[in-house]
Amino acid sequence: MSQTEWQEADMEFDHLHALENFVDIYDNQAEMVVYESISNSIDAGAKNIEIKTGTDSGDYSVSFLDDGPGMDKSQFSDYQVCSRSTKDKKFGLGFAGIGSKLYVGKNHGAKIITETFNGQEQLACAFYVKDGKIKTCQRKPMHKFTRPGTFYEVILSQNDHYYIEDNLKDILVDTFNHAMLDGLKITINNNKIKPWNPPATEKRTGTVYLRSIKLRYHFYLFKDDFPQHWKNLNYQIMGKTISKKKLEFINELKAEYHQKIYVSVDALPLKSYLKTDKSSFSRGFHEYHHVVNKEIYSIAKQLGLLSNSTPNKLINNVLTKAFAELFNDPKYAWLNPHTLFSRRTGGGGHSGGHSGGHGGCSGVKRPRTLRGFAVVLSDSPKDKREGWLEIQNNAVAINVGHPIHIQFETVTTTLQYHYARVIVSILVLHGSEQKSMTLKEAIELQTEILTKVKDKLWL
Amino acid sequence: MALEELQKEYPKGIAVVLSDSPKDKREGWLDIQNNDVVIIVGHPLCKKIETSRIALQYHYARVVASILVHHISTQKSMTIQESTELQTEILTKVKDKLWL
Repeated sequence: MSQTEWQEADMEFDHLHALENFVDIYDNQAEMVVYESISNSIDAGAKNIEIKTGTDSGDYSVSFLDDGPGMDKSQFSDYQVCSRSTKDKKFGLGFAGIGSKLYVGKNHGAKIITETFNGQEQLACAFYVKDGKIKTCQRKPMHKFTRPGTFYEVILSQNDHYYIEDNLKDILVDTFNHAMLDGLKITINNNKIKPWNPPATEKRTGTVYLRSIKLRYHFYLFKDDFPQHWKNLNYQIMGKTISKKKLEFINELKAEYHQKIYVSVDALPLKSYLKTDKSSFSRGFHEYHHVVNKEIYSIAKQLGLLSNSTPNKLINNVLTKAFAELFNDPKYAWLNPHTLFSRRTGGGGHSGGHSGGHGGCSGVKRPRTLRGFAVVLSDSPKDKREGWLEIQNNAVAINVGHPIHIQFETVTTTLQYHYARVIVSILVLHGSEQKSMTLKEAIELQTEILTKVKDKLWL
Repeated sequence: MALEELQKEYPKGIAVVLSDSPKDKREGWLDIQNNDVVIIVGHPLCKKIETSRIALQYHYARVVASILVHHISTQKSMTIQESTELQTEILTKVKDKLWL
């Protein structure tokens, strides 16, 4: 503390408000209860989990009983401290020290009861909110354990209770299918959940490498289509699905294989890329995703699953050619992303004289062969943009996970129109950063460019 | 926010009318007196895709969204990026109601 500062004190921390904010990381708080509970059981090494839903004594509840090793007094004491955990934060699947308490943060009428038995002693506690603060209290153990394990019960809101009752099986299969295939047994109200394991006509196993990281994958070509909401690539860690992705080259596949190729990737070596909620990866993950895609592309090619004249490839070729021609027109050359790139980096092999063929030196005029740009596809369903400019790669990325794209991906003409519209909108947006223009001028420029390229585009 | 303003301004919605004006460079315009969004079906872009029903509907939606966003921008200052985002937002909102 310097002479100009005074009254030093520990900063107060609003635990309840922090927990409320953490809950917002998850898309659905009822699903969060299931994810966190099962993840913690897997982290503890459980092989069996019994889930029960009920409305005993007027409370709506869901409970999870696992056969992990249980906690001793010291571990159980740590468990009751928010944000304290014996887990390696990057390793575990649960939100270490937080996940098991989150539900009371958002639902102040809720209660979480935990009982644990390590083979020697049984301990119990409860979490709830009272007077605007999160409370933890010790309880008399009630559950009858026949073997070591942990019992975790959440008193839910009525809506969350019915949501879980209606969707629990799907949530488990969607997220923990690989754990179940690997031997984890889960029952719901004494009924065993069967993992999804459809017959495959082709199975392959392999490994891809990038920067000393090895990713092992299993490739399946299913006999029948997989469910609509599933995706081709499933990245899982310890049996929990972390990320589902569509193949980057999906439109190059023959249509009948779009929902038959399924790849499970053991993403444990990528654990350092896990985001806090352990339900997605951070940015660096995409390079690995790309390498996996390349590997699957070569398998698809070997198996003859690629179409000879795929709309996507054709669209891409037609688009890049049409825009490369447009940029040869001095009137539009300044919109070329490559020009933007050269300007920002101080130029490269193609810099100089991009602004319309007036580049100064005397002598023979060399034809200007401006580079166009590549169109790359990115499956980013959470990104609200339809596309963006990747200056470093001299590419325009189209978000194939955007709802508007998904709506059109089966109709080639409309898809091409959509691509063209997104590209033009991106080019004009970035052009407007170079050259001031009104919104009216930007709209007119978009129409002008689309009109200009239309004859090169539509198939 | 801008969408809510549009809803306030046109509580009963807008009518879409078609006009064959091949010499007009615009793809459409807002006819404020009649509360109509006019789509120029004689525009070369419209002519190019008019044989594909779904593409045509997409085109209509895009033109309407663009006209509405432009109209909002005359009342409330917005950047080109904000206008692009608003167009995407409008198209995303209406997409399920539109495509047959």
